[in-house]
Amino acid sequence: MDSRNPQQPKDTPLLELRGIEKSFFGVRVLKGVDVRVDAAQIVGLVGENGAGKSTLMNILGGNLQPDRGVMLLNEEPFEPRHPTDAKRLGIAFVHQELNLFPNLSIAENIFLTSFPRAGGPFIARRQLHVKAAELLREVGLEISPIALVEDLSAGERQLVEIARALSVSPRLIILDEPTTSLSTRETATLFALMNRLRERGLAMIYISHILGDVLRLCDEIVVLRDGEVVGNGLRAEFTAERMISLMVGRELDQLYPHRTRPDQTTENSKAAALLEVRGITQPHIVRDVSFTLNRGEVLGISGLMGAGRSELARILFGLDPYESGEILRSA
Amino acid sequence: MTATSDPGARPANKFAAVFASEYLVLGLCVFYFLAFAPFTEGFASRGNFSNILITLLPLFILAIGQTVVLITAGIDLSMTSTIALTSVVGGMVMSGENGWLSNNPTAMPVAIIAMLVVGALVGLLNGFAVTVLRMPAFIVTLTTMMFVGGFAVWLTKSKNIGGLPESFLAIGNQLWLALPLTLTVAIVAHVMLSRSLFGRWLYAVGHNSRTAYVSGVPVTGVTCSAYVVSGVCAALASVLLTADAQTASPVLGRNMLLDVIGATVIGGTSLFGGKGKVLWTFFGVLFLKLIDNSLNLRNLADWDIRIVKGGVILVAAMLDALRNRLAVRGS
Repeated sequence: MDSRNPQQPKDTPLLELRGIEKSFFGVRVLKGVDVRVDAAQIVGLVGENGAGKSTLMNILGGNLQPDRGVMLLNEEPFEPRHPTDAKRLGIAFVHQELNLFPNLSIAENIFLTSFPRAGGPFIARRQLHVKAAELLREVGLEISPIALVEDLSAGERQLVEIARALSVSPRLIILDEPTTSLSTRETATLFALMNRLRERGLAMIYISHILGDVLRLCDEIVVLRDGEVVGNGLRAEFTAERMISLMVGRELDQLYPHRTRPDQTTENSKAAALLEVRGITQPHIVRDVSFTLNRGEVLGISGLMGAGRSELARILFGLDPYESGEILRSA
Repeated sequence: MTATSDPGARPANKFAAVFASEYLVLGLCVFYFLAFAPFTEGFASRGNFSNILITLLPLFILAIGQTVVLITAGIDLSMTSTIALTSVVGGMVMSGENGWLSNNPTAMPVAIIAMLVVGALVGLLNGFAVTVLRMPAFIVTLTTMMFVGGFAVWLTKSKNIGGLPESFLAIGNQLWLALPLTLTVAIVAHVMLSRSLFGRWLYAVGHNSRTAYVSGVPVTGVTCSAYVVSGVCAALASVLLTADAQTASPVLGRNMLLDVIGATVIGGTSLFGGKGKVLWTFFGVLFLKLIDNSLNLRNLADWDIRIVKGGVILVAAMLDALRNRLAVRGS
């Protein structure tokens, strides 16, 4: 990619983690994790919630220190004490919850701790905007760098985060669930960008629950379960089914054991209604939503992002108003 | 994100844009002036303008210091006590009656430097307690207000100090000295806030200090410095006020606290942090002074003026809360 990173022979990894262990209050969260990342490679990291993905990445990003184990970056010991250490050595982190400042401009967000200076404590604004515009072009975002981040959509903000990661000329970018709040089109833009970055020699660690994306995008896949690596190999060795069974530690057909609803046979369902929602409507938010929740039931509400799921829940809890409809609760 | 949630958000943003307009308060000033001038004798006279200006300058300097602290999502209630203490310290150094440097030609510059140093020290104390001890700014500065104010009275046994040098008194009644001093403070503060690293970091810290820390912003130093700036501003205002009063007094400026915070908030600086500008604060100071002055000219009683000013500040704080809510919903 650049002069700092000459053609690496494939047998020397860019990053190597060996036997990483971490405990919180006596609970072993990571039990000796080995991971290897090569240049120009996207490694997918999958696992259930609590498997240790975030802890591992926080150690890599300098937010946490491991109890035991070594990290090697280009075969040199790598021991970041703070996120800025990791950044300086070329490891950038794009967090799931965006770490942007909506009250600052795009350019200021990108260069918050590395402003080009015009002598002393002053910011060279023209240079700042030129450099920011370059990075925005790289990530394919055609917006003025002077624009405030608060005026951007979720997808645009994600691209600004990546522009910020690129501003430190990284060798490795960690992306933690970057597509959570993106639309399909924004996700496609992000993946195209990631492929371009890989062609330039950058390594990436991609964390996602969307296994289809991981299979489509990644060269290698690492599966974590309960703080241990339970699967590690080339993409071709994996299918979504195999990843799931590794993640949960059971065969797929045992994933959803059949349960019988308690009390269902003994009680009249009409009498057991705990919550009844009739035609809840709030303009532009939800329209004519009705359902009944019975005793002993778990009621799932599904839908796309923005379909009104959370808004409906807020209305049920009295946090938001509704225009018409009824919410009935049994005593 | 989707068609269902967008139409609801748009009008809210437009609504917010009107309130967020930079020149809203300036417009209100002009409107207020034009509306009251025909009915208030002497409001539009030349003598009254210079009267407004001379009382506006120290308030403006104080409000600039308050703006810097409010941007970090803090508050400085100790400013008025700092005025009193620095006034007393200045008087003790330079008074011709029994000052330490009585009738010495260096008395005046040394006194002013001593005032600034004392102001900075009070700010440092506040900043230390807020950052290192992690105490809430409200409690910290409330207690330093009492402590510093009491200390000023104790130092002087509750007496005013007269006999200040002529060269010092000139700063108070000569507009050509006070005006450039205030303008310099305003310009330095404006450039610092909008074009220096420290300034941009203030906004980042004020929006989210945790995120700022993770991004590598030296949060402790930045926040602490904001209180030092505020203390120095209080000392500078004290120079103007002491010279204008012609005596150093341990109760100087004791009625100004609500004016300072009120003017800053009227200008549009947010009590929630992350937002504020020197220009906005100027508009806020101007508006509050116009109200103050016009009601005085109409011979309204002190409590009437307080009711009006309190009401205006309350409305400004309510608008701030409203703007903040709209911003949270928008994102």
